Amino acid sequence: MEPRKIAISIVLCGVVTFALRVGTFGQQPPVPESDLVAILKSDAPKGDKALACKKLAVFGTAQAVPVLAPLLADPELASWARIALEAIPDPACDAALREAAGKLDGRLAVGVINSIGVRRDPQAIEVLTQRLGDNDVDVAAAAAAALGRIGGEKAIAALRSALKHTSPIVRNAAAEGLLSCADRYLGEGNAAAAQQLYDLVRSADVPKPRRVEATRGAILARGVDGLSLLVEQLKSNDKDLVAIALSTAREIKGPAVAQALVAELGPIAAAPQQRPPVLVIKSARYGAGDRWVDVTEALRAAVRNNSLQVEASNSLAGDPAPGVVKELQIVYSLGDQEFSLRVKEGEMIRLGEGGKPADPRQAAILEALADIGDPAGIATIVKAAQEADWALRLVAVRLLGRLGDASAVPVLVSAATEGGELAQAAAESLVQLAGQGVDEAILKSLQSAQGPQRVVLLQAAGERLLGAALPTALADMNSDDPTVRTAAIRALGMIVPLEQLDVLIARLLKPVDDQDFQTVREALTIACSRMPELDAAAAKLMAVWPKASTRVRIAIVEILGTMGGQAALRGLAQAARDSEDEVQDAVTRVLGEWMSADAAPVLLDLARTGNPRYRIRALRGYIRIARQLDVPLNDRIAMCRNALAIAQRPEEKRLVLEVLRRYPTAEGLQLSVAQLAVPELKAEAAETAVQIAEKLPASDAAIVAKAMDQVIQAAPAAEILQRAQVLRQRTRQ
Amino acid sequence: MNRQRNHISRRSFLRTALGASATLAVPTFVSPRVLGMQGLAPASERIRLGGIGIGNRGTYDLGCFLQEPDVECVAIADVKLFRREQAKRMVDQHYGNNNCVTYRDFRELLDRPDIDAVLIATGPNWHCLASVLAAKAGKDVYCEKPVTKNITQSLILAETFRRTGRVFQAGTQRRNLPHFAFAVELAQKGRLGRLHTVYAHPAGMSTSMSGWAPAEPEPPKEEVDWDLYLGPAAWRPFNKRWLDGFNFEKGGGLVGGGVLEWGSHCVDLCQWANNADNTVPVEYYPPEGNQVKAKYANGVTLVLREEGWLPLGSCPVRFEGDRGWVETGDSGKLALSSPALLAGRKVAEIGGYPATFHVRDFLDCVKTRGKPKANADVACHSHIACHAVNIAIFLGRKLRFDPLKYEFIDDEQANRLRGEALREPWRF
Repeated sequence: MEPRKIAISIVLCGVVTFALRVGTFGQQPPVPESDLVAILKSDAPKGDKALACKKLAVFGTAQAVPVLAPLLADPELASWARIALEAIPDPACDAALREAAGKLDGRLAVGVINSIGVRRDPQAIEVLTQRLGDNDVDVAAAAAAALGRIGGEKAIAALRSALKHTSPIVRNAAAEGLLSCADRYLGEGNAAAAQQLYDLVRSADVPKPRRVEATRGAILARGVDGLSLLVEQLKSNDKDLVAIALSTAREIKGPAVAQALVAELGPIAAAPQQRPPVLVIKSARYGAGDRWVDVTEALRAAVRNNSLQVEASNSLAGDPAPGVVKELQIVYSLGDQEFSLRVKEGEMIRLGEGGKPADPRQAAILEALADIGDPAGIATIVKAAQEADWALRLVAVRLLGRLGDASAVPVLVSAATEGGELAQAAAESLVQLAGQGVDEAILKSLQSAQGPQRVVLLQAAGERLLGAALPTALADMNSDDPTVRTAAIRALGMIVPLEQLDVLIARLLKPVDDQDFQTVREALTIACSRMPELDAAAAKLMAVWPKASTRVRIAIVEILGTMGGQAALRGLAQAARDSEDEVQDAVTRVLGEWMSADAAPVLLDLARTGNPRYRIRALRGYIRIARQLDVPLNDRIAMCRNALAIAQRPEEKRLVLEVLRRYPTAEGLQLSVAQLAVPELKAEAAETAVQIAEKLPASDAAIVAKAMDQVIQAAPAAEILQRAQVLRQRTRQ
Repeated sequence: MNRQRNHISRRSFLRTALGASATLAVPTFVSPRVLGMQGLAPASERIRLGGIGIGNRGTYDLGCFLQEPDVECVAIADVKLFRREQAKRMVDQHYGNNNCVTYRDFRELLDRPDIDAVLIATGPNWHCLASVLAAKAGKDVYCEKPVTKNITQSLILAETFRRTGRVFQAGTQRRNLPHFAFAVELAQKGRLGRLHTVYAHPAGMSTSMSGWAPAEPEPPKEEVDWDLYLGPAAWRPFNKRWLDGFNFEKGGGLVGGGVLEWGSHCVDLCQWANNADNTVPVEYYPPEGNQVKAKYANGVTLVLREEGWLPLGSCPVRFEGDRGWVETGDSGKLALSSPALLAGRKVAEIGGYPATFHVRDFLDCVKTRGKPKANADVACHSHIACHAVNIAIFLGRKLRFDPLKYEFIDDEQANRLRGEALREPWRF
């Protein structure tokens, strides 16, 4: 798109549309200011005057003020006039607004006073002070707010008086005004003056939100001395005061506030509640027929406090089967019992039983401590992760991932063996832990850990990419304990270097059992994909091709597909010539989803000379690249030409026409017209040709004319014929 | 042991529910309307919610809130009679009662001291002002995007939520989706090398904005409160074409369009990837071809482009460093310069950009007073970036921006476009 075509337009009067084109707009107004002023002076419709005001906001000067000012008294145009008068940086605007503020009443006065507040005109204090005593409380309140924005001693004095006004609306506005003045004092470093105003509002007869805001200010203005005031709010039974204390503590940060929060947290004690059976989501999918989307992760993430409540709906992960009633299928366990169930779309599933912290306020304080990040707070969170009731432990375990250190490792390893949400959170935190000595602590624990703890540690070592765990993982891949064996193989997927990749490849050739094969295949996929030596890894995989079974060859093809890159592509080209149908099936499937355009020649070759059973799939993969991936335009059109030459069926030719429509070119137009001769494609070809022609520049007029003659001759549907005739007519002009 | 559990009948569920404690120990599944109030957490743990402006998007959002057992929606406000009644039906059906109270004027809803939080899903014309008024009334706010109409509003939004200590979450739910978060993590942690370019998809940089249309007979106030609908927007006569809300006065009527509509998502993600949640680009360029560029102080270039995207769904973003790149979109899929970037990680592929996680993040923060992923500071800066891009498009020239003063440097016209007067009697 050219820059000049990027237009921002304003619909005016329902019939006139102004297109303010960027290229012609620049620093100059679309029309001279004098013309805009003339519109305002004239009897033009109000819509025209409104738009003129809007333009004057950007391009107007003092010259426009005399025509804008009278509009302040017009209920329909006052808001438009103020758009300009608030924006034009000329004292004439202030003078006009002050004058109007002294004369107008009701809403119009409120508007003008609001604009004075926005412009912070110190010369308006006198008129605003007068209007502060207005009988109309809305006008008085507006004056108070404006005075607060302007600030200064005179304004503050007036606002102090207004704090005793009989109207709560005015008192509220006065409090807002004083808080603005106090904030400004605090920003300027005059904490004493700020504190005085905050304290004044805290003790005034004003709405509670103003007093809460004043409390925050009063804490901040007092600096370190404000901690006692903060703690006082934390002790309050008023949730709004507790809330402002917690958010203000995060603003203050530092060891002093952390210590104050720790002290306020109180003793952490396990509640005497029996732990509920642990809920574990094993797998879940949502959809219908053959269209499903895996929602396991979505549901796992939705488990809160050991319970899940969720509606079977498209909000889980979009709509995998539009227009069809879908269902949610879940396999889960509660304690040692496993269940599976199906839930119809629109119904709600509710699983598990949650606990709750004995003291919910403790959870909030732990969260605040985590945000503050001081060591005193971290130690408290580690303690809570061990000793608190289940629900508070869950909070602490999650927080440790963000800010824990080596001391959190044994706590998290222990929690990670408990199953369910707590275990999942602990395992994730174990991977996230960033403090010093964490890796060493994990390696040390691995030396002696057994059973479930060893599994957790192997998993953590793998996900933390701990290369030093390699010897342990290599040994454990032959463990008698299948859970340890599986964890070790998965860890190897994460950490095995190229030199020892053969160990996993050998295991793929000779797995312990089917489950072992799947685990090794997944680990190899990860290993080959993550290592920088992609080509060497692909070569190692292809080296065992001659002795690999069909199952292993298919696995290799899929691994190469995940890896991507030139060597993998060469491997796939070789695999595509395999004698086994199943292998060729896998190759064409993988190539059909290849994410870069370099697969195009391989697919073209397969479409031309490959196994006839998979030629159509290869051709569709080739067309997909032309349609979706990043290819120079000339190459894209050349690919369309190639595809049309090979395609035997109208279905694939239709896909090519779609590409041509998406990327309109003169050559594409000619290719489309050529398809008019195919009876099954005549209608689509004609429509495609017309669509392309409508988008081509005037320089292609001759090609368009010729093409439209052919379209017209083909006698397409009436609507297409008419468009073709219009185009033909246009090219004659 | 694997047991197939059959549907339990509505009647048997009711028996169970009536005989059970507040939290059910048995796994069960029911129609939400049957679960009703039984599905809620104890009253002391509930967040009492009010919905403001519940149209199409708002209905989806409200559904996400209603799913959460610790939320009780008690009121709906909408200037349109049809919509407030429709939303009330949805809420009442969910709880199996008739308790949801409706208001034409949202200020009555804000006056209720028993309401803790509000969902604001009005048109963009109202987003910022309603959020600010809600915060000043002591409510926490989940507000649909775009949350502001201009730069000044963005700053006021952040300042208000800082001052009031209220929790704010912009409806940019992609911040809480794993594939976007993972792409950001790659950029932030240097896994792509030195980050040099972040790409966003504005999905339309041209737009027609609302202005003035011929007067039509104004419906009764109870049916459509036109004055309240206009709210802070400059006055114009009633015309039903403006009533869609979604596009009315987006970006203040002069600038807006796709850069703001989609940029509030994808520019926001670019900001996040560049560790720029507290700043914005310092240079903005006029459009070139099908793209617009801006540059951050750290040298990273932000590119808004219409074409050149991999087929990864709507709202794509791409982050490029000198050692690699990542691209992702609403399909939930990731494209990487090398699969090695995954480092073996399995990133949950959640397509369809659900807001459920984002809503939950908000609710958790309502309880802990923490900052949600798309808090007011984050939203303020990502929206300022969008507004500044739009101003550069509008003026058609390079602009420089001071990210500390939040002013354009040596460009008075650009600075005039930072804010716009509100119609009387509204003010921040």
